[in-house]
Amino acid sequence: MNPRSLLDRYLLGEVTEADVRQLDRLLAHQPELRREYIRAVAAESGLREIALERSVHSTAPAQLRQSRQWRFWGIAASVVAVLLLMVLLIPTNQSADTVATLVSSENAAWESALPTLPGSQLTAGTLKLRTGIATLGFPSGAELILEAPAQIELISTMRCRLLDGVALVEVPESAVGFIVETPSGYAVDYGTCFSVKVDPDRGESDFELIEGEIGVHHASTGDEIRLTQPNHGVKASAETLRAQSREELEEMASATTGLVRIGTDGRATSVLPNNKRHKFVDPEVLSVRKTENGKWDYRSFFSFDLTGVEFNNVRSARLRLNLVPSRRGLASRLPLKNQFGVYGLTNSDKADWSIDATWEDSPTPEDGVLLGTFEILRSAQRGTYGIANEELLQFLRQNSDRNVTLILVRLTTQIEGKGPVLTHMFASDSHPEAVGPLLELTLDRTAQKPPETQR
Amino acid sequence: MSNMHRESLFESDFMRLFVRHEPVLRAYARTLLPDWNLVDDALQEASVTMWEKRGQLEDSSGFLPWAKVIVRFKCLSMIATLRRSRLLLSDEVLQQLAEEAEALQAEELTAIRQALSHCLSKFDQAHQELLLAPYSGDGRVQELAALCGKSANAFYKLLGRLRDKLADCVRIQLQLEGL
Repeated sequence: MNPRSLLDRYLLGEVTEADVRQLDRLLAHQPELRREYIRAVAAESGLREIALERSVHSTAPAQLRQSRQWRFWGIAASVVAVLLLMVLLIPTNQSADTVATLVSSENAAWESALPTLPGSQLTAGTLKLRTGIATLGFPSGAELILEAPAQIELISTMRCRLLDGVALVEVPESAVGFIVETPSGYAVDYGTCFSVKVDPDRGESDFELIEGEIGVHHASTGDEIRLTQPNHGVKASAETLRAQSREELEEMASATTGLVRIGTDGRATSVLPNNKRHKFVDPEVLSVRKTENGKWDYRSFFSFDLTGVEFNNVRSARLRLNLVPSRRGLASRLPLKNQFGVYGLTNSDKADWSIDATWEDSPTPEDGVLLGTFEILRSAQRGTYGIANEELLQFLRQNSDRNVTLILVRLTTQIEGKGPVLTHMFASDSHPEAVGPLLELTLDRTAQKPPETQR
Repeated sequence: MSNMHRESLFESDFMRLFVRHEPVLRAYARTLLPDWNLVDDALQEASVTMWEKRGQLEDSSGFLPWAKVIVRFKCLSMIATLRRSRLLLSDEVLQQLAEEAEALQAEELTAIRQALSHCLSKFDQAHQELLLAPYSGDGRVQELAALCGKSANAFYKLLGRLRDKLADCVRIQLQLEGL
């Protein structure tokens, strides 16, 4: 059967299971046939209307026609009747459990127990948007555009809570009073458009008015700041609520406030036992490998210049390492999880290592203390890894007046199999694409003015 | 909230909008559902939901896309239960069709309908009757076949040919109008 008659028979309900399967395959792969289908359905609707009209005017009404016709007009009448009843009886009842509708999504990937197809009705619950952009519509008329990565909890038709990420909220007159909560505050919307950004790591949220009027309240004290001027904002932290001008908002957008990043400034390298670094050490990456026999292992080390950092104000420290795709070895010989150790150098004899140091005179884990470990799945080729803990902060604090050296090694080796095991590679400062090792220091907010970024 | 005024204005608007867009919504539902009885059921349920949620609507221009979302949702939830008893296209294909049918507008339907009326008039009375039989009640095609002393299968074959002819005529007619 040709596709068109197949389609036609499907619409008439005159098909076998095999026909339907064939049609399904064809429709899945032929956009042209789908257009044909939609047009055929439109024609189908037209034919039906004509049939119904004619049966109304028909002088010899067959019994079946009659019943069909009455079914159609009966429905039209009953719809109107139901609507009228509702006008009289339940003027403003909303459906009980639907909180919002997923209006649209662009390249959205979700982690959620709630349905995530566009058009889905969403009940109260939490949605996590991993990638993309999604629009949620609330029955009240409020609309929320989420940008990944974001996490939101739907509470009611007039209330939601943004736990992480960025959202743009538009509230028409019908939804005045719509509330967007964050962990540190909440905004009551008086008919406007505003944006909200939540940083769960720092426990802060930023509200910025784009148009109209909002009231921002502090989560625990209940203090309120009213915003009526476009482009003005409020930052809500665990302790306070603070109004921000356009200038401060711009400054904030550069995301440097309260954060100092220190790079290695080229002081980073790898070593291997045979010391043929010109041949086997690629300066763009920091190689890390551990094997059973140890002959072709790699370890890396790098230093950060901490002079000039006022450690009294530093609240937390994080080491960031950017994994880049490896050019050596096979991932299939790695265990599913690979563990890495970061050591802080304490042996002062090794502190003055040179950039072309040998395996023997460069710093080893035995020359230092273990500050922390992290894991990488063997399937991962990219991503930011590293450690952020009290041990790291303490170590940095004790060595705050000088260069500190960190040593990176793989703690796990390989599994049974063929071929050489993968060498993990992290970007060095000379990597063309990814950023080299970074120390990120979060400064206490009692610090007067956020220092300039250091690299 | 001070939207009492808005709402009372909207109640009459709602009826008007629903009646105006009903043919498009019906056609849209038919894209997903395998027969007209189910379409009628879906529309009825959807109309109740629309009424309940009319507060979501800001103005009349937003009605059709909004109503389509509701109709689509109703159809898809009906399909989930229908699947056990009916032969249906896969969910993926239905989703895709629903997406692509989103663009269907009243103007297009009206044009198709006018073309149909015109083309139908070119068929003789008996063939017109057969072409309209599938919409004139369950079993009407078989009934006509019995009247003419033919097998239902033969009649469906004839119907298929007539429908092809009609579709060709409609296509040409629409091309003439530049659609």
